[in-house]
Amino acid sequence: MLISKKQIVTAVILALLVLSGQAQEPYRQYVKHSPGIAHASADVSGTYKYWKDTESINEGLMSNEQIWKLNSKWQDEPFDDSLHGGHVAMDRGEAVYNKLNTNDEFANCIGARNGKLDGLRANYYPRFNDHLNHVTGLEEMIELCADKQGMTLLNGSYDNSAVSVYIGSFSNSMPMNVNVSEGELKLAFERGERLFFMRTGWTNFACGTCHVTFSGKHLRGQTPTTYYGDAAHWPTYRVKNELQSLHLRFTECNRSGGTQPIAIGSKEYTDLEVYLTGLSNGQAVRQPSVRN
Amino acid sequence: MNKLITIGSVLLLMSSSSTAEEKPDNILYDEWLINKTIWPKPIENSGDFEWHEHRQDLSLWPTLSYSDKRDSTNPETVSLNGALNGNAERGKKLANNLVKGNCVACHQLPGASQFGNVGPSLELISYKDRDVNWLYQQVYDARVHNPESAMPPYGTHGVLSFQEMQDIVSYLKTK
Repeated sequence: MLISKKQIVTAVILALLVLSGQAQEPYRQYVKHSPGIAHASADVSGTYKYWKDTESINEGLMSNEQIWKLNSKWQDEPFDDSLHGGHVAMDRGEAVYNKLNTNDEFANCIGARNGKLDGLRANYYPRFNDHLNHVTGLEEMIELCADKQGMTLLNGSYDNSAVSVYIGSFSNSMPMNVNVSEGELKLAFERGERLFFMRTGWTNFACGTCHVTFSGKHLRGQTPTTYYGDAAHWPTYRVKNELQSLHLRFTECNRSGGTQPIAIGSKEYTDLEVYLTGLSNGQAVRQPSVRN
Repeated sequence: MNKLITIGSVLLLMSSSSTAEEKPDNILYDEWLINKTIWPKPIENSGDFEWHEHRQDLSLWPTLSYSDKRDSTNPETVSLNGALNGNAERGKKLANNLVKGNCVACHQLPGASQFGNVGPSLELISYKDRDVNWLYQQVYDARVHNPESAMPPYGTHGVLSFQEMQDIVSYLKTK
């Protein structure tokens, strides 16, 4: 009952064929788009002029029909200094941060430069972490660094986002400036862009179906806004009374669009975060923020 | 005998390739729940979540996950064999149902409030003399008429049954 060489070779070839078949990318459909330019001014909705900076925000557009053009920017600090949930979250974030950072280990872990949190939101994250060997967002690092201090702050949880809002506030008014034109971030940006226009779910929608094709039009009572310039004010307090990180928002976007949500902090959501962050370059950081 | 071993090993390898149809490994999913799909709600002043069951099982269709090896669907061409056999009343309910048809999210329908306008208005569709087969195809899989169509393929994706799609076409033909 010997197996001949020929049979072994045949089995190996067949095994390789089967394995190569497995490695093949599945068939996907995409919404037509042109490659994104990593700057908020490259916005494709034609609304950039209404929200590019504080001076440009036109309150005359605050009617039901026009408000989408402001992309919720009228609600950003310092435009909305009312005591909304973003401020409450920032205070909570400060308290949790101080508890975590009694010996400066947390600040160092999160990437503080000379003990300062300035710019971490504007020009540091998302970032390729050599130690972890993957791209991480600020909220992923908050979870990991808090864990080292013996505190569980799950990525996307209220306290994690609150700490992120607090850290982000040290970047207030700085323009977002994350280099997505080289290295691992460039690859993540490109993967994120593919995901953004990839059609999935029962609806066969992509993110781009709502935010490009349907932008400015009505979906039931909603009007999808542009996806440019947003990463500069997340995590954000949403008027439905929920503090949301970008990844947590993705799980809600996915459900509304008929697509199965995936894990917060996953490579896929981080790639989308890198893509949206690149498209926010040039936009000033606003923390705390509020939007619908 | 040797031949059998070779065939056996090939079959074994083939069966391992059936993982291609399995669900991805990083979806928010609880197999013990009816709707499977779950979602996290932050708890105020806490580092944890409250988990909720979604209103439908979304894991049945391709996801954004890199470990999802299931192919997307190709457009399916269909035709009603024989006469249309639908119930316009049921069709109207489906058109306004959030989980099933939800036509009104994108289209204006007679008498509906808070309708969408990303698709053409259907308010006067019954006067437009659209062919019943064309309408059925449009609901079943609009990509057959326009490959770039944003409309969900209700039939191809198994969201609506043959009967439900006929009900909707009957509703659209009602003057």
